[in-house]
Amino acid sequence: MLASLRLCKSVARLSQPGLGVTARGYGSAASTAPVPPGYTSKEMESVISNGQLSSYPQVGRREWVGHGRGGMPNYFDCLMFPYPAIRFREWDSAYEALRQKEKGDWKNLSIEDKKKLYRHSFRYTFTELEAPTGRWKLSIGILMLVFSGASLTMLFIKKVFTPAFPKSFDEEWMMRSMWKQIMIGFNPVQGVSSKWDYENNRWKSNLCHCRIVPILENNY
Amino acid sequence: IVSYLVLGNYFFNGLNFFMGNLIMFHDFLLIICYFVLFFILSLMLSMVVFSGSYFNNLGNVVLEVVWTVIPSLILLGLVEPSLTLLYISEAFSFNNGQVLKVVGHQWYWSYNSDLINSVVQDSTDYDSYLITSDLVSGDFRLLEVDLPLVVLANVPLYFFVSSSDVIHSFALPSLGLKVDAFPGRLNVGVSGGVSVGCYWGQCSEICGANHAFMPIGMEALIYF
Repeated sequence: MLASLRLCKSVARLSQPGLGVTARGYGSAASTAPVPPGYTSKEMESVISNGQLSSYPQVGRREWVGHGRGGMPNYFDCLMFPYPAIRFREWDSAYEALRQKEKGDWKNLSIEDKKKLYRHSFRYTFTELEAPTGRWKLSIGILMLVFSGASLTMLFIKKVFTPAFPKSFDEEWMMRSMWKQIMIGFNPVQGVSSKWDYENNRWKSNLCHCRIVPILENNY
Repeated sequence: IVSYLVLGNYFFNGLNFFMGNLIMFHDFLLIICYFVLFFILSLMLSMVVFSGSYFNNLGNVVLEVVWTVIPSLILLGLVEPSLTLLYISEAFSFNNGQVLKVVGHQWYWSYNSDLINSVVQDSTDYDSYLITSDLVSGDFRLLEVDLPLVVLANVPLYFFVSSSDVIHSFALPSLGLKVDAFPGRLNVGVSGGVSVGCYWGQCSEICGANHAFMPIGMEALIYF
């Protein structure tokens, strides 16, 4: 009775292995499996926050080794935060044996032992993290598909559903209107009239930067 | 209006002291805008193109001071032309120019011009409609009006603008003018002297179905 009352009070209080009780309930795998040494019977709520308390059951048997990216026991492979808060794989007796071997002389560790130690704590090496995936090709491809679809739609609409131009868009009409602008001196500072030589009745000779084809402004 | 110029402003040329200076101020401002834009774009592009960690230095007081002071200096540099233009746009006394009364209707303008009153010896209002039929080849299709606003050249212009029904706006972009026409209200727009010629504008406040078809035509003449 008293034990159950204490459970109700502190949801994530860890219990001794073998008792069969954790926050996940009675008889779950986490409650009966072996646990790393030093992880028994701790009152956690006085040391860590409620958020960290609530996520601890999902960590499983992975060791919490540092602060990581946000303080929470999540595993991230990230160049900017290279040391995640928890190890990648769950603790087991084979790994414990390797750790004891690591405490001795490192010359006794074979290449495979070192690789196993690394891969237990981490999912990817930095080379694998930075390796190109080629996913940008998918992005560019979808972009091109969308763009071409939209362009074809717009071209179709413009070709089929636009009415004819009014009379004032005829070549001769536009030429006459440009002549009219020159005659009244429209835009004399930088525009049409500034390019006409009024003394000699012709275009000015220093117009290499201007096109001669008439273009429309503002659809007048 | 047909133009064959490729390099140039996107304004009607400034044919007014005020508008000329406004265009120069705009060019100056645009240079600053281009500088800022290019700087920011290059920063963003460097973050995208060059891989690296940007969480090394999360605070720098000197940088924050610099990027507060430099924009404020830029803005201080913009104060002078801006305020100058603001004050010269209103720097007229109303007793040395011509008084032009403009009333907006749906969908035409009506004018009362000093020059015509002095010739006709009577105060006459006349309406100005867009010409839709009988256009001669070469006419400006959406700008030709039957009776333009006639004005004396080289003399200050005082536009008193009102409306008879809905809100319109009397705009003459060559002169840097845009005066709203409210029913029951008289607004004033001022321009310095303009040279002889034709000036066009269009209604600049949505006023119904033919809002796009009520242009403003103004002709500046001289006595001789």
